[in-house]
Amino acid sequence: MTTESTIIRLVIGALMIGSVYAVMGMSYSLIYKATGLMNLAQGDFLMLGAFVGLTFYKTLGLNIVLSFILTFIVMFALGYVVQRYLITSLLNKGASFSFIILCTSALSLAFQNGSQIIWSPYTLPFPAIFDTGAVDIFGAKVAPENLLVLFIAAFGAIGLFLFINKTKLGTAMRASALDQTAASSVGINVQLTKGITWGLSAGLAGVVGMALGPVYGVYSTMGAMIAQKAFAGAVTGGYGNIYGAVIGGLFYGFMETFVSAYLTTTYKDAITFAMLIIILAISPTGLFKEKVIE
Amino acid sequence: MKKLISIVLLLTMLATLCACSAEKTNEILIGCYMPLTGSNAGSGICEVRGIEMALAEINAAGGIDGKQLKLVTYDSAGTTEGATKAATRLIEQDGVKVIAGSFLSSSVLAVSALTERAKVLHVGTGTGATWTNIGLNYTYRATANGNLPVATMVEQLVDCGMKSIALISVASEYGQSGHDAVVAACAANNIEVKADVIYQSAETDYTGVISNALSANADTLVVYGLGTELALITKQLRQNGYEDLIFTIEGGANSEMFSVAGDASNNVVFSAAYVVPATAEEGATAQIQDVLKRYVKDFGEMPYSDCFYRGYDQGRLIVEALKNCENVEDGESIMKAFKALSGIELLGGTFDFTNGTGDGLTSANKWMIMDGKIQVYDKAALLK
Repeated sequence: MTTESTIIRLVIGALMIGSVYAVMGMSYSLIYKATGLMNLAQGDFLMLGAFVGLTFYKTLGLNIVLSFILTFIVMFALGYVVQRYLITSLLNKGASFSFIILCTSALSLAFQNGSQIIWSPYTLPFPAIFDTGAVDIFGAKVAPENLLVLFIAAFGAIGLFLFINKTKLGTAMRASALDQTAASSVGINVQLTKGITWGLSAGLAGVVGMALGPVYGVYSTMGAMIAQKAFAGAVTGGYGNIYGAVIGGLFYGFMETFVSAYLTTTYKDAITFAMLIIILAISPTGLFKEKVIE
Repeated sequence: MKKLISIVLLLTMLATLCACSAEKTNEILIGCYMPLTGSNAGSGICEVRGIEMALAEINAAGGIDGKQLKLVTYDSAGTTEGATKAATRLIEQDGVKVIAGSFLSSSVLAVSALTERAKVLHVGTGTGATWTNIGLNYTYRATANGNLPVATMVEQLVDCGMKSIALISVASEYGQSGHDAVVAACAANNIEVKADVIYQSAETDYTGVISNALSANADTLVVYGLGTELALITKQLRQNGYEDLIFTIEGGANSEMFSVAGDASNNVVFSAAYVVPATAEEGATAQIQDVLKRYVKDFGEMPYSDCFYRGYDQGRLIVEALKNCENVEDGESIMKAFKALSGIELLGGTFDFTNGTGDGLTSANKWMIMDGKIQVYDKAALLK
């Protein structure tokens, strides 16, 4: 194995996991930006997406593209329902910010245990999507499923960017995030946009989870570590800043891959998270100096 | 309204306690802490099923002195904190004198401090070498010590002509003890450890770890890990173009090697006390075939992991000790009976605890994965 092919393989690996962190970080930021809340069940939306996708693709035998679309729809609906009927009702009863965080943490456990009951406590295999084996990219062997993850994550990130900036609904979401009262006064349904924001976040996480299924298998805690690092990436980029989340996610993907390849595997996470502390110590609002919602 | 709810809850609690104390007179309680949620839940559930199967056998035969055996199980969630909480409850609240411990060595080690103090027999199934041979009186292992499969796996390395390895091990008590055993056994057999790579538990992407190990250009790879992690590393090694042999120990028998790694598990060579075959009829012995058939009948599937075997042996050994002891209400009496067990033929081999180390087995078996199936190790077929 040559040095060049090793580096290419590492770069592709870093891009794959980094783009997953980036999309997950974007979904964290989206919720925070639009509602000022933090969702600790985001990693579990990823996990549920993987189980739902497995059900469509393997159990029901549907086409892979259709399975992705249906997974997005189901996860969107779940995110929407959680926001409209759980989070909103708690907020209407005067629940504080910390109470909502606690609620999403409880939701995370409920989703994990629920998935074990509905599907399985075991790791379930997700069938290979492609018939071909590893493909050769400049001498580096890469599984096509890994490239699919990269494609889905990049597609999700670009799609979200275009949706927020180029559509009426996206503009309404941004307006609601900036000033709810003003947005309401010009006829924007703020509650609906909040629900859609949660739905989009859950949908994105879900399709990424489904794409990860063939690579990692599907199990109830598969989203936990990914969500933790994606959150760190989002905070590093500037919590609430969509672009910052992308940069932060990719940064963590590259950091952990190259640190474990060339420095240490034992202290990889310690070094990676030490970087988070250093960056926040220098720039408490992240790389993109995002204004923190009080 | 709140007062009413409080009173109802209190009365429910008292009624439950009364019911428990009424039941106790005709039962011998056996405590159990096991991961029933989280990433290790699959193996935990299997182990509990194994213990229950062993207890059901003796209960069907009339129990011990007319008393039925009842398993009281609490979820440890796979953490040492969860295990110690569960064990504390079993000892202090349920008053058990015997505890069937987890297959996670870190949990067994943590709980042993409690059971030694409370004089409660504690039979674990973790394979980490650290919690036996350290002078504990009440803590015993109902499976093979991890050092046994390691020694056997190094025999396989030598047999395959390997002169150097890259070692990948998990960052845990289990991984550390296994790592030390592999390094020592390799040194004793003149095998060079060219790379020593640690991975974090619950990780999902191993690109960096794999690159680090492969860059050493060793003759082969040894992966000391379990479950989904081992399967993911195996799968990602193949996805990264590594097609040669991979050596490991008991984790090679986990079902994730097939469900997660799939075809990538071919050419994995391992050593373990037990393996789960594809069908009950393929069990290595008549006894194994029998319990597997019963498992399939009861649960409609083959066991998820070899922890089912461990649980069954664990339950049977506890039953033997309870049958032989002078007083089933006295932990010391049960411990002495357990320590005297020898020549007990079970699924993992012949158990003998009379040497006082806490370990009951002295050998492990050699296996390999070929054509998507676990087969008895055959060097000629492997290197063909």
